[in-house]
Amino acid sequence: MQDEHEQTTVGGEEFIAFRVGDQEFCVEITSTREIRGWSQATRLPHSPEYIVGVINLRGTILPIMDLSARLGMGSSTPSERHVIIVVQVGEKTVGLLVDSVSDILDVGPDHLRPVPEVSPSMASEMFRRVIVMDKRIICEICLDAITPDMELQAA
Amino acid sequence: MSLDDIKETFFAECADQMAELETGLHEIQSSGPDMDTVNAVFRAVHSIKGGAGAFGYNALVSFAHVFENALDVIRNDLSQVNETRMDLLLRSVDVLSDVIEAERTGAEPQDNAALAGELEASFGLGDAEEAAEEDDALADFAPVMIDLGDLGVGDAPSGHSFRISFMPHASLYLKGHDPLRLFRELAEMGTLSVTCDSAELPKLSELTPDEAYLKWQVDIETDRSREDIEAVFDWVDGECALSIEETGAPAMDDGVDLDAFLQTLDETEPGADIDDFGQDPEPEAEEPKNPVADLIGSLEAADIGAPATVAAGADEPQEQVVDPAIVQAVAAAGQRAEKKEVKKASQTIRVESEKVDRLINLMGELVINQAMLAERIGQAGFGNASPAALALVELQNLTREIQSGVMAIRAQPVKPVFMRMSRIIREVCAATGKKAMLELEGEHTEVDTTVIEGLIDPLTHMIRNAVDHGIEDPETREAKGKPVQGTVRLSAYHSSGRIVIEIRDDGAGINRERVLDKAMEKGIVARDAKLSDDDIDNLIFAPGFSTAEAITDVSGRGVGMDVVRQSIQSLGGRVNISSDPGNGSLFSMSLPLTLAVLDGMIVKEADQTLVLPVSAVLETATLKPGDVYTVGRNSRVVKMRNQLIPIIDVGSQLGFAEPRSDYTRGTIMVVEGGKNGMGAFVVDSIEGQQQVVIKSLESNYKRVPSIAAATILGNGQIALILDCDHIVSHQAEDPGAPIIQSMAG
Repeated sequence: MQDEHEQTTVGGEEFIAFRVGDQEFCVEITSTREIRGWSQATRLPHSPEYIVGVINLRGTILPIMDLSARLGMGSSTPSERHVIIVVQVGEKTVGLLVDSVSDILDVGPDHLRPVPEVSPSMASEMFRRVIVMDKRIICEICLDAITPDMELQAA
Repeated sequence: MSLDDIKETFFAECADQMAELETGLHEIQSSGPDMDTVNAVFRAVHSIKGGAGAFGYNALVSFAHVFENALDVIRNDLSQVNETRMDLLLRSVDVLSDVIEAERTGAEPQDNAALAGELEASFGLGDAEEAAEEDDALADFAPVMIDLGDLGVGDAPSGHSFRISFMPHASLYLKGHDPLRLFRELAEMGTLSVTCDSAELPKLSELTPDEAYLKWQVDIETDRSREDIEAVFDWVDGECALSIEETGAPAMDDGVDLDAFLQTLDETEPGADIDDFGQDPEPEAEEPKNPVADLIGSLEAADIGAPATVAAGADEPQEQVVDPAIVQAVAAAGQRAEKKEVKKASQTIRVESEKVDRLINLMGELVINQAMLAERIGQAGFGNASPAALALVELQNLTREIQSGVMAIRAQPVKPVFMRMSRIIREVCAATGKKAMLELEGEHTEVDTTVIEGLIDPLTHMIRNAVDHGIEDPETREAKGKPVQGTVRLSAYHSSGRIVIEIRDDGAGINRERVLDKAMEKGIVARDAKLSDDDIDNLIFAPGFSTAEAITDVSGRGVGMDVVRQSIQSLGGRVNISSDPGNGSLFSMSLPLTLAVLDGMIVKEADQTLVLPVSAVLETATLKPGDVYTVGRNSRVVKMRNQLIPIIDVGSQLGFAEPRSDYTRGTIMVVEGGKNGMGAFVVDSIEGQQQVVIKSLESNYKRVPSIAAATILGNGQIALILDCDHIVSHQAEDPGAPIIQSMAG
């Protein structure tokens, strides 16, 4: 297979995998801006439960989303151990609060599957694809889907 | 500078000229014509036409030309101004602006032949004799031979011959123009013979080096129209004495051979690359030109074979002219004059707004860092009188100065936006058949450009409304004994650190009965509600309210006054209305002067640091147990200075804490909440007062109710800036309930 990317070796896509609760999820590495430790956020009034608050990212106001709460897995209590993955969603920059970063994956097309039909409680529209590798099953977060009301309000 | 850049500059200048034009016409309309204004207006159109010609924007040139001719009629006889004509001219401004826009975007310009025709008819441009009769001295400008059907595009019958007499003023050379270039351009049109007349050239001893003495007579045989010939001299209009006469006779044959003449000029031109000149439409961008060089060239040219009588003494100075020392001295004088010109031009500069924005961002960082420094100095245990603390105060003063300096760069007068509104009024009048005029006041009031940009839409909407719903139709007005033409007065002024913009119309005012009926019908307000007149007036801002019986294509665009209110609020402003039935309404908006920084009161509440705009805080106090009264089931008010002010528990209102049981422990801040009156905010403590940089929450998140924006404090933490208006108006209210119920109850 022809490899046009400089850094990839297998010729697949690269993802950052992270843990939320006892599950693994990932986002495309191209939408990731940086990974940083937890710092105390300023709470926002009148906001959904999964918005932890805002932090100062070198002079810009960065909203932090508790991914666990967003995915319906219960709110997490942020601590020093938590990690913020700063991602770009359209024009906006958002921080995702996760338990830990677990891996950087280089995934070939044969490991990428469409999202299977799962129970509606675990809103499947929040995922784009599923990576099946060895014994791991990692859902790729659909960034546009987890930030819908932010997009709507911006219009 | 690429051609695109130059075009950009041209369109930027067009915008300036359009502003000038509109201002001028307005002045003429309101205070009658005076020569200076008319000239300014004429110049504006003329410059646009000239520039457009250079870029080959033919549609623009041809319309500007008709416009210019129309203005010329007025310029020659101020009494030619009348209402119909002014109206026509104002409409022409709109069309001209459209044509410019079309040329800029490369779109197909709208058909403007109808208006051009109207202009011609109204100003009698079609009739050469009439135009000539109006003023004989006009000969230079009266469009004697124009075939108005195909303006400027020149399909004129072939075989004209013209005699052009051309006497440049010294200013022509000073501005870097070159007769040679003009002759070259003419030479492209047909057969040319040029005669230099140096009769007025004095002896060298009497010669003033930066004066112009030469004149030329140019005979041209061409198939082009007089228009085209005039166009050649567009750039030097006012810089020369020019007359163009059509002659039946063949060209003079005793003139200087043009080629020889040009060659001589070429040879004597010191180092300038003449061939490049034609490509650069900006005179300033040209290499400084030395008028003396032209003079020398002309002298030699005259010597070569012009039949013109060279003054008797001319032979003698001729030799001295060649003396390099003198030439140099003279050239230096010329260049000095040139420099003066350049200096004058650089009094204003065009700067990309991006650069200014970057400066403002940096300034924001500076303010944050300064706050950080202040905190560190405090932590280090330096006293207020210590040298470190004093140096900090010094720094704070400097920062403040830099900040106001930077903000001043971005501050712009509101005038362009105001001028735009006059077009809106014309359009609405045309669509509704009403008559209204715009009066401006305080249009030079300055405010940050970001505020100006945000103002355009709401202001447009309110102006439309004022005419569409406010001003009555002419018959009704007449019946009421009002002047047939309604007035919309737009004014701006600074007031306690904010800009206030008012829109006052002398129309019917708000029909409170109808507004109330409508509001009840739409369920915005309860059937049995008792509302004050003010409350009723403000109903028009309620979401989903639109008073027009039928939605007109003027105001009704699916958005109502609530959108206006929202967009004003998003700028950190507020809008109020007061109405005097039968006599008109007054909309008043108050906006911050800048969207970048504000003076903030830092408070602590429920473990959160919050910021209130100092401008909103009226007073602070602590409460004694007897100060608080309970009204109704849950509302509490405090009595201060004989006023009952509702207490707002900020922490619980924002959902940060449970409602407090004891108000006496906190601090009360009496806050002004716009039209919604005052509120007494209870917070845990006041931390201090500090300048804060406004950071938008929307850029990465969305608008949060009750929160105006965020800021970064000295410790790097984010603090929220409260939207006092919103909090006051939404106190003790069930989420989602319409505003008016709390007002009524």
